[in-house]
Amino acid sequence: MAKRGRLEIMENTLKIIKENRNFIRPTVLLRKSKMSSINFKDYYNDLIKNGFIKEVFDDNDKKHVSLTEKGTKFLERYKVIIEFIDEFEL
Amino acid sequence: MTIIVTQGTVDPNITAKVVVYHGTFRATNFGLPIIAPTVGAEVIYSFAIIFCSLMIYFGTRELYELSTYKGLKYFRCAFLFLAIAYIFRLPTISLAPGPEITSLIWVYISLFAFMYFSSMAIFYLIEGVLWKNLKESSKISYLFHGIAIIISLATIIFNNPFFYLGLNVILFISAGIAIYLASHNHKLKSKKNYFHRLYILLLVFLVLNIFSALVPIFMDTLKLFLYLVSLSVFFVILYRVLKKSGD
Repeated sequence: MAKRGRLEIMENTLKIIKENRNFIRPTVLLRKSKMSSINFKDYYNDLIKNGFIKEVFDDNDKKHVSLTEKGTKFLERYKVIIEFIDEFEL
Repeated sequence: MTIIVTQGTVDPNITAKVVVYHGTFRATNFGLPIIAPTVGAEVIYSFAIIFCSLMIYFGTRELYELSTYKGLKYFRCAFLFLAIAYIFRLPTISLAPGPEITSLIWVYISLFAFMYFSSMAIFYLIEGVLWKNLKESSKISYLFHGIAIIISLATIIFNNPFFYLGLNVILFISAGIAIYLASHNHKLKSKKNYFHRLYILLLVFLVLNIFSALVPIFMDTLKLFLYLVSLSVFFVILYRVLKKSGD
């Protein structure tokens, strides 16, 4: 998959979390992201590893996902990143 | 025509001579007066390039850290390597080598480093626009490093103006074609974008700068003009980078 595609998928995934009041079950995230489970697992692990999202547990000890500060920053700057890549033909 | 072979700085009043200078040939003739930039102007020019390059490198740090986008990495590396190249250029323009062997070794090390880092800056610029078309970009990176080392070693071993000329012409033509083809593909996929023209202009001046630093035989009278145009290209890129990165 092209790198530009990777950025778009990252943005889409993070946006879903943000739109769900920054608190979403991984299974719901998988369903809403419309990715195959294998692809989702790769992106999910990548987002955690790079510090864009974090796993949190509710009172019933159920796993949820929320954005980190870096994830929020990525969403804020996504448009700038894409425009920069287009401008300099990278 | 009188040919004076000497070592050290050039007397601007003499119009026909060949000078062995820092292990490379500095010469001028054609009966024209030399309007060569002074050492001070060369140092200011080098510092301006270093400053612009580092501003571009650090100005795009946040965007890269957030995206870890390969194209951005190569773009930033090009300007980082250019800044390092011009740091190594400083001793070759501001210090005249003495007869002692340590001074000569230092000049050769600086020349080697200047050639290596400036060649890599060109290669990173190419890789930045081509990486999407390359299947194994990490292997290409190693290849570029290898070619840059060979170019740097060859520059020192074959101290020949025609070798430099041939090398730089080949480097420029390959880079120009690569950037044009990559930009052509990019334009087909997205909106019209003519930034590749600036890339090609930047490449022209990078190659001319390398060439003029090594063999200024054709360039001494044009150097100041070349430096002004080079700086203008850099300022345009710096402006657009800072504007687009939002810093």
